[in-house]
Amino acid sequence: MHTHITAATTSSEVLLNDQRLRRRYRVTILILIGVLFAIATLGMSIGAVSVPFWQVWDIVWHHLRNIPIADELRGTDLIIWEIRAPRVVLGSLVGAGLAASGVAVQAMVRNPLADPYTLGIQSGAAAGAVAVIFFGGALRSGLISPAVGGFIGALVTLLLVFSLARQRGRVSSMRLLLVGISLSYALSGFTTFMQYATHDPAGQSAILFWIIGGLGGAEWSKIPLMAIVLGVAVVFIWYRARQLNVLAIGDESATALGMRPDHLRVQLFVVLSLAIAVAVSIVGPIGFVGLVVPHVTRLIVGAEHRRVIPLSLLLGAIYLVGVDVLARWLIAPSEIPVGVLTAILGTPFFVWLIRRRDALAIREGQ
Amino acid sequence: MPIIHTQHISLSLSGTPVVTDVSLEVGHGEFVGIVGPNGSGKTTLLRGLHRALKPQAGAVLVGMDDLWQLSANEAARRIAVVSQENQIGFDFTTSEVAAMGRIPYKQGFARDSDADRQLIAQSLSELGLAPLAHRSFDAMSGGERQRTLIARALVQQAPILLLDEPTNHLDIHYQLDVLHRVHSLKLTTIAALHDLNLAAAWCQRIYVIDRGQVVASGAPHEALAADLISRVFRVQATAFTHPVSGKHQLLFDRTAEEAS
Repeated sequence: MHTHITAATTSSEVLLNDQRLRRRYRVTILILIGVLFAIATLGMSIGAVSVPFWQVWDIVWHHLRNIPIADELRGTDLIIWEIRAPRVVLGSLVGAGLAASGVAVQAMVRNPLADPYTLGIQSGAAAGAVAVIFFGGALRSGLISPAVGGFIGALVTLLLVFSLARQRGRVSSMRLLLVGISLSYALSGFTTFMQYATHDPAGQSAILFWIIGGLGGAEWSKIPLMAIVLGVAVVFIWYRARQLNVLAIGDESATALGMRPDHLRVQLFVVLSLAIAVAVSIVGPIGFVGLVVPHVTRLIVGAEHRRVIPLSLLLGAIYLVGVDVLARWLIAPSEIPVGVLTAILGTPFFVWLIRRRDALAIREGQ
Repeated sequence: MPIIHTQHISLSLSGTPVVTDVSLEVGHGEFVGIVGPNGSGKTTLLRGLHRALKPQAGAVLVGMDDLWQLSANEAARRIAVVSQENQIGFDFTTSEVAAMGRIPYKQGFARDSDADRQLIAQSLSELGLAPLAHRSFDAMSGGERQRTLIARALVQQAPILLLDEPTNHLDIHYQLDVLHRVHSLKLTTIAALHDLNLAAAWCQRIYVIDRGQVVASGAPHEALAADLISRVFRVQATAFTHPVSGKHQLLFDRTAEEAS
């Protein structure tokens, strides 16, 4: 929230304003925790069978306390606890993880228009998973699932991007950006070719999931791995929040402040790529969360990463769970893959953002 | 005893030697200028004075210590840098940019203490930026941005300040304003400067660099002698004493090519 305070003239007034901004930030965080709670309740409540809010939390409470569920609620329990709850939790985790990764990638490549998929991980995962489906039929091998194929595809891509972006032991942000984007194109072309060449309808719909992504396959068994990997990545990013501020400014400033920008970029690249690879191999490539959410976050609290990171976690979770609720509700009883809707909602926002940036640049006379 | 000095350092960029065998000494509290034509190695030399560029040969000593034997954080607590990176693209406020000066003192999740916040607010107000503390850095004028980066250097609490072309792209008011403010901080300051007359007016001592080597050094009237400057910068320079300030200054008319 950028208030233009003209009255502040002394350092004590600066301190007072600091204090006010900090208080406002804490209130924002509390409000957003409330919103996340509300949207999660909504996500578990609506659907083919509508369940009242109080009953949703009654069932969740029973599970958390390990209290047996009454027999007449068995059916509702199955829907809430086995289908909708893991979906909401998975949505929150992926949304939060992608948003925080987006924040870090943008600082890392020093470009506020980058997103986690700029590094090429998404396209690599899609190509890997689709290749397993495409060649799997021909080879009649059930040895690796598309998800494992997607993870391998993501890892191979990350190694490729990394080694191509490296020159004389340094990884520059510009090279990372260019190599990631151009490799994405190549891999997308490959994926599209395989989709085009597949005539078996089952294979085609399986391939579609790896091009759009969605939360439909959510189940509890998928949660722990996701939580651990994304958790490690988020703690790492948060721990480096102060440094990310300077990384976003430039290597010269970073070095002058006692940092090693090259090292930090390599560490971020590895941690983020692994987190994104795991996320993509479980929910497919869900686009735009990592681009849209960091920007909304910065509009609310400015660019300081110590505030942007926690807020983007909350907003990312709210955005993805919220869009998923929409995706299930808009054409109920059928549902839209959430990846389609994030892109449809994300694109107009992205265009608006670019226009707004241009308008700002003109006003500043640049 | 010099607070920072280099012993025969040579610096290269991507394998190409840019600075060769430069030795300089800067005493405590001195304001020293580095001048030279475009591409002479001013900025490269300045980068060699902190940890942006490791010398191929020779050593940089900060007090008694080799710059490259110190930890990166310790080096940053002794030397602050105002580089030419003043376009950010991320919407930081002035006070957030200044707060980055605490990085060499903070590990991981460490929060800003009240003392940190006070230091940041005081540094901003010392540079006349208190009214702009919560404004967007990118939306400010060049002079205000430059002052913000100097405030960040103050927050860094380093005794040595390196400035890379601090007056670049500023109008004459802000050129004088920035140099005046830096001067009144009483830090040991080394500045790469483009404008010879600003260097002559503000620096106690000047090093003239040409093709990566020191070709003259000393007080402004010694280092910036008209014949040497004419040769190094390939112009016709005339020296005179400023009628008001009494400082050594230069006037230029033609390039050396025109004159011959």
